[in-house]
Amino acid sequence: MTDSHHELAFASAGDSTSGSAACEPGDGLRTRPNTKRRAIAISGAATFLGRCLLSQLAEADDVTHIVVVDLTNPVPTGPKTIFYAMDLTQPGVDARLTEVLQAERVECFVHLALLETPLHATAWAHELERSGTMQVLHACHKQQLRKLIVVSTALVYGPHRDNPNYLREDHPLRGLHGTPFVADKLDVEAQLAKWQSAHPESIVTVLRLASVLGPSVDNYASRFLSRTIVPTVLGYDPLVQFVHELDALAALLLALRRDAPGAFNIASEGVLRLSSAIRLAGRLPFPIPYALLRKLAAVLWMAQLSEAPAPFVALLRHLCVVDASRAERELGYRPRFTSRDAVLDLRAERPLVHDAKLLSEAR
Amino acid sequence: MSKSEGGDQERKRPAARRANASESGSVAPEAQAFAAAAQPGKRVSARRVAVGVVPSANTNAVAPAPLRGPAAKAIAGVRRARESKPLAVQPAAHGGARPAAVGAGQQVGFGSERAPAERQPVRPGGFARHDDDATFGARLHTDAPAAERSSSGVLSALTRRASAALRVRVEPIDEFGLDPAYELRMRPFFDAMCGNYLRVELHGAQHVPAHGRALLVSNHSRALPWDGVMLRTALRLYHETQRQPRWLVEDDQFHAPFLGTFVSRLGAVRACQENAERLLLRDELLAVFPEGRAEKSYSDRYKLQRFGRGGYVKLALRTGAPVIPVAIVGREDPLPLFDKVSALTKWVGLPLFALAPALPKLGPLGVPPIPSRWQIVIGEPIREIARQDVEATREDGLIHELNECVRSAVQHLVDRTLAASL
Repeated sequence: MTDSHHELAFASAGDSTSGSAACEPGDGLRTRPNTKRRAIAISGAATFLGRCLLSQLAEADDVTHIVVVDLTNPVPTGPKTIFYAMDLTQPGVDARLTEVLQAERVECFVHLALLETPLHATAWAHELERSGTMQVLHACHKQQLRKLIVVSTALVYGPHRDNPNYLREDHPLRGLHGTPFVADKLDVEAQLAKWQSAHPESIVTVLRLASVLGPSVDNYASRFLSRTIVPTVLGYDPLVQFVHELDALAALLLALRRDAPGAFNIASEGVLRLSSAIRLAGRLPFPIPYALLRKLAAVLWMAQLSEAPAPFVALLRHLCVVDASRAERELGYRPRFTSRDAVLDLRAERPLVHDAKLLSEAR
Repeated sequence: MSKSEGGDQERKRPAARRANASESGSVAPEAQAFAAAAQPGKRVSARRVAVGVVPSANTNAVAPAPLRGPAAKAIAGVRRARESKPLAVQPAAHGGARPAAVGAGQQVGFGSERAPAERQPVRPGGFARHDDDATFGARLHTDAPAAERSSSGVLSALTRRASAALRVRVEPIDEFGLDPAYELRMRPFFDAMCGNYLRVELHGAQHVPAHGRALLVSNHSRALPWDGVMLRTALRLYHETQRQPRWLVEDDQFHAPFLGTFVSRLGAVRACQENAERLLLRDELLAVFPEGRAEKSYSDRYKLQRFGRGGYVKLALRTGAPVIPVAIVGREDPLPLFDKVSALTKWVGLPLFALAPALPKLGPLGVPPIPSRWQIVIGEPIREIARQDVEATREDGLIHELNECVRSAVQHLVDRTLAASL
């Protein structure tokens, strides 16, 4: 079973059409000696998804070399990882990155050096996300990279009054006004779109993840649902959606193994009311009128007592729920968890490594 | 209500320890409680006896008696809420036996719900123990012993009380926010409104297909949230297959505080093309009110305004849904006094129905309508639309004609109903 799975992964590496067809288990029992060098570069490997990806790829047979580009060497290293310390905010780093990519003959770049949660250091974040991506894209251009995967967020659609209940990938990206976290992500997506149109033979995959929740992830959503008293907007109870951390990881692995250009919304199955999510997490909702809540959120953010800046309060009022059916069709993404499971797992303390084993089966 | 329940628990725990081994499983619970009361040295509170709680902590599996009284209702609500929520810590279930991703046959979009057998079973003699545990809101892992929880501080005790008092809504919802459990609870009220207060008569229910998608096009009554709700209730009560339509509401209604959430839980969906298409492609029955937010004066209340730009016609053609005209006619219109509506709403900044005094339990449903007799008349599917094919969506002139055709059909139904009722 495992052999045929890896055979599957290897076969799909070079052939973009065999992705959805070659899904049956037990497909071919012949083993091919894996002599081909397949190098993957990961930037931002110290992020949550980066570390998960490293631990998964360390055990995968179809990847021979993992080139890690980050400020510090992340913990799960192995014989396959080669670490290069690079600071993407420094000017001129793209030359060094180009050298590295050429020397290691990298064919796939996973760009995870983007923020998962809003920070106070907005100037540094601006540099990291916008100029960092620019340098990475420049290096990829020099290398004529075959494949580029970037993880973005579903917040780029923005929680607006006139959002349909299920946002599809072709919906205009309106973002969240007033927060640089989302504005930077919009800029990154625009740069990627431009790069893809300049390099039509490369495959650029953008995964727009809903808020990631799970036992080990730490971002604004998990911190919000970990408060004892959770503020909500008086009179509003929008539908919310999450993605379990293992589903997010599974989507990233699928994007690696299959060639699917374009943007994909990734979310776990089902939606919840915000009040249900708060109660499932075992917290107490505290409704506050909208104007007052925004002012309160602004004050708390300035005092560094809050997990997200004031414009994020719009998420508690309007919905921003995505439709993951394109990922299901073209990436073969099947969420194993529901949004409800994701919220419940927030409270459970189970180590991630046991669950990650589940991902290698039945995909 | 939570206080009495809390009081019950404090009294029950000492009684539970005292009353043991004398009860056998086959004796009726009330009899047991009375027997315990009759024995000297054992105090069983009158409320506990009335409620029918068996204060036994031994391993006899005693089925709880039917509960009565307000405290009983609180306990029953607590138990129902707890049983309906899947608990977080399930180590056995997690080790690879997780249910697979949702099967194709599932109707509600919430995915793999755990089977009832996998949930935390009620332990034998555990009825008393579960009522000891008021932390169903605050904590989800129930394996901590009661003693540990009771000594965990004032704040957590307050949290427990508060979460016990709040309405716990963690039931699964469908992908557009319809909450079946909530709707079930509201059913007696809406049935009473439909049957006794508004005395809704439904004519032509046979035109609504028993299976498959259909688009019901109706006029807007002035009691804005009520027409959709009554259409839904009437079809549920009087249609042969009890099909219930989802209805589309405008932005103002959907985004009004409290009201928006309330109608959304009952099945309303925000009006836009993507939502409507998704619903119709799921083979649901969909009701639209194309007049839009029509602030008509009282004298013009049955003169239908322009039906938008015919977006619903294009929707019907794209999805192949039959268009069925519906007329909702109330004998006396509910709001004859609010003629100068637009000035008032501009001044306050909220649509009219959001100004209504909030009914605390039900959320503001607009001004409650005057108890007039409503008639809902459903006509035949519009043949002209059924004859067209999908290519017709490109011809704007044809869409406009079909739009007018539907509008005149609905107007005809309205006029006929008014004439018949005079």
